[in-house]
Amino acid sequence: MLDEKIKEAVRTLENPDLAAFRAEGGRALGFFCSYVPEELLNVDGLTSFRMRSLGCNSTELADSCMGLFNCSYTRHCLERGMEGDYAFLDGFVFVPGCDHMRRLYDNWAHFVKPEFLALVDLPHLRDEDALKWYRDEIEVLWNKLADQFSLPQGQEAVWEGIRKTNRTRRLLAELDRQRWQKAPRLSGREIQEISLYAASVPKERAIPVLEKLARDLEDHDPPEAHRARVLLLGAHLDDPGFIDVLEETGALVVRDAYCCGLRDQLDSVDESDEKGDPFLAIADRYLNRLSCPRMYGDYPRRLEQILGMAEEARVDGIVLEQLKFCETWGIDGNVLLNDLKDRGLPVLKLEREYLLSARGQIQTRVQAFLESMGK
Amino acid sequence: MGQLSFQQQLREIPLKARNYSILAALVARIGPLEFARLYKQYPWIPLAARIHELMDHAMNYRESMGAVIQLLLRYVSNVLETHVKNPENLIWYEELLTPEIPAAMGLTPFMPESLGLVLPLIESEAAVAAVDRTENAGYPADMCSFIKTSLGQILADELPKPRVVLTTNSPCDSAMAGYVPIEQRLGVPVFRMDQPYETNERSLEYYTKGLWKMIDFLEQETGRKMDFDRLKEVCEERNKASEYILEFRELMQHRPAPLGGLLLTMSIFGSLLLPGTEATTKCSKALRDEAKRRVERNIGALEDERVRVILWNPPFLIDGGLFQWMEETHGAIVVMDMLAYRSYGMIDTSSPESMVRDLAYDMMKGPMARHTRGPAKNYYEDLIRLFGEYEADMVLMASHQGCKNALAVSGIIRDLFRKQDIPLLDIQYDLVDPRATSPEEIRNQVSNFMETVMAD
Repeated sequence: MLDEKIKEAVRTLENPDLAAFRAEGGRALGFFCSYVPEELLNVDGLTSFRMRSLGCNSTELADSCMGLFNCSYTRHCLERGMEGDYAFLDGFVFVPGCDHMRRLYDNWAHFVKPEFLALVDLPHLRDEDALKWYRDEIEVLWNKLADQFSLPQGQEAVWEGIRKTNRTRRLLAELDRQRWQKAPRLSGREIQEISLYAASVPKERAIPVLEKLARDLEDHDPPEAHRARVLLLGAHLDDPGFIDVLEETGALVVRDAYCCGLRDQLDSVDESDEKGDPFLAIADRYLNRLSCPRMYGDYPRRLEQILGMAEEARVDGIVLEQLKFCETWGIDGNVLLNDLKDRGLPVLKLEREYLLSARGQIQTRVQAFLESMGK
Repeated sequence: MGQLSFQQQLREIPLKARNYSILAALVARIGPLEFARLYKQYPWIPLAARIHELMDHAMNYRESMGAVIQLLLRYVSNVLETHVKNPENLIWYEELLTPEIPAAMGLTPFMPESLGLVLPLIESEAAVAAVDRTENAGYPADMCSFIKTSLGQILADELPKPRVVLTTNSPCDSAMAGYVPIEQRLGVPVFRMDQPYETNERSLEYYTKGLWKMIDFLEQETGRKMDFDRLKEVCEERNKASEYILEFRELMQHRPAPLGGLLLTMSIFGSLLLPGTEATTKCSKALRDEAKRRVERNIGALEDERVRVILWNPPFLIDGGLFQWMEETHGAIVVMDMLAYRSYGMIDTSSPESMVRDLAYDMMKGPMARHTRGPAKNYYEDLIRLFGEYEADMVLMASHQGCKNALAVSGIIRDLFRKQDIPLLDIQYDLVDPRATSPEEIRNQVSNFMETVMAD
């Protein structure tokens, strides 16, 4: 069993660690996409919070603003934003990750009107000019943050944020690697909870908990027996209930590349040149990690990376989850599905809404998938 | 729909003759057998050959409509001729790129999305087979059907294959992601332009660099050299056409508006498909001249103009007759729409640098690049400004269900419009698929609104 602290941070929005941090004068900033440079939000005096909306059962207000054909993650967040449920956060940072996210930003500005709101213009390409562009955008964000929250001037503060975030990511990577073994100690659900925890509490509080977890891993109860090992790919997923359905049906998630899982956590910013440009180092990390399909012209590299991940973790098959109305995953995902199948990998594509629904239907499809693999 | 008088029918003869002579000339140039082969291979050609039917939606301004149709026929004819005689010169460009640069290199640019834009205007269900094909191949039903149309045509090899493809990240994720399967299916090099979120000096510099890289790419992949003297000629010709269109747009502010809504929408085809050509300049001048003549004589497109409409979002392509029906039934005329509100920026031809930079700027300010890829404020501030400038009475929001960008601004729009007391009719439909909301249903909604809200 995982520490109750971790479980609580996943169950709730404002967790005790975050509340304590703010009570001590710290400021918490919500961020909406894995391309937001989290390092800047974790300099001394700030902490980052990955935006979630679990527990929001209706999107009536948000639907009237964004329409029903937009992604339900953005609608759920807007609903809670309009209801004032994120009052425990001191500001919000966006990137124009996709059509839905850009318009969430517009609606946030118009209806939620927070005291601090920033958008970092993430490019769609990964070439030299795009890298320089994103580097400059990150510096602009830093100047806004420093101004708004009276942060110390100079790059040392940024390097500190980098070190803290890197340390968290390395610990998560260590936990991830044990899953690839023949007998993993952590289930996919547990890894997701750990990842969400690390994205929801101040890093200085998360690091000791993760260190202890890594240290005590041998004593951790292994997941229940499973029928197949799967790689879980896809869009924003912060509901452990979804992975529960997969794992209860016998598909153990031994590696993942979905948003809010470890896809976004496994690459560190290069710290080797601490006299160098921290903004460039951050930009480089974000543009070179395993990309989201919102990045442009990067499909061949993404396919090869996913194939490599599947091979490393010796998976039996791949589950591709996507949020309904997400064009980037919907279109790119269909190409990916066909290519993975062509390479001999069994793939199950599941379209879902932000809130888990049709549990039985998902279970039936997973069962059929396992059977099709002879498991 | 009214009937043509005998005099009108007589005037029609040279118009039709001119249009069909373009097709006849194509047959002569590529040979009847080759034309027959294309006619059989590409099911959109027989449909495109019916383009003259659009004249039926322009009862009062047939000269101008004839000029636009002539332009479209020239475009299709050029593409097909290049496809047959010099296929290595045919390149594709996505709808938010303007094709002056490849044209100046002696290449023939073809916009695959152009068929989805024009064919449903002729035949409501023209795109349905391609849409179904895309969905049946596993692509999302909710992605933009405009892209589903071109993707479906590509999946069935119904479009002439290009040497290379040029594309952008605008106007939306559907269009951007759609080029992943398109690239895979075609197996040709693809160049991607990356438009930042905001349009400012810094983003213009970034986008301009992209355009220079596009020139390098074209030179490398096609073996053609960039000819800046030729680009200068193209841009100067384009500037002439832009001046005419800007004047035409200004004339549409006159009360009564001189020409009808469909023509306004179709006025973009020159700048989209054949910019920098004499044909486009001629067509643009014809529009301006007819509008000017009418304004000078105070003749409106309608005898009794009762409601002036701003149409926002891409127009209802599945009902080419909607504009005329609104005009005849409700005295309601579209005086400006989103697509017609292109930037038509003048290109400074003093140097290669100034030309490339101004072309980049024009692309960034393209109607959907600016409105849907960019901040929502571009979308609603332009709309509200045009409402005032054109002394409009209402806004008709064509809420295409595949345009998530636009749908997601609906709450802000309602909020702002309520505060400013702007009447708004918001109709949800699909741009090219009449099965979502039929033309009849669209017309019913328009009638209900006119008879209730606008009757006050």
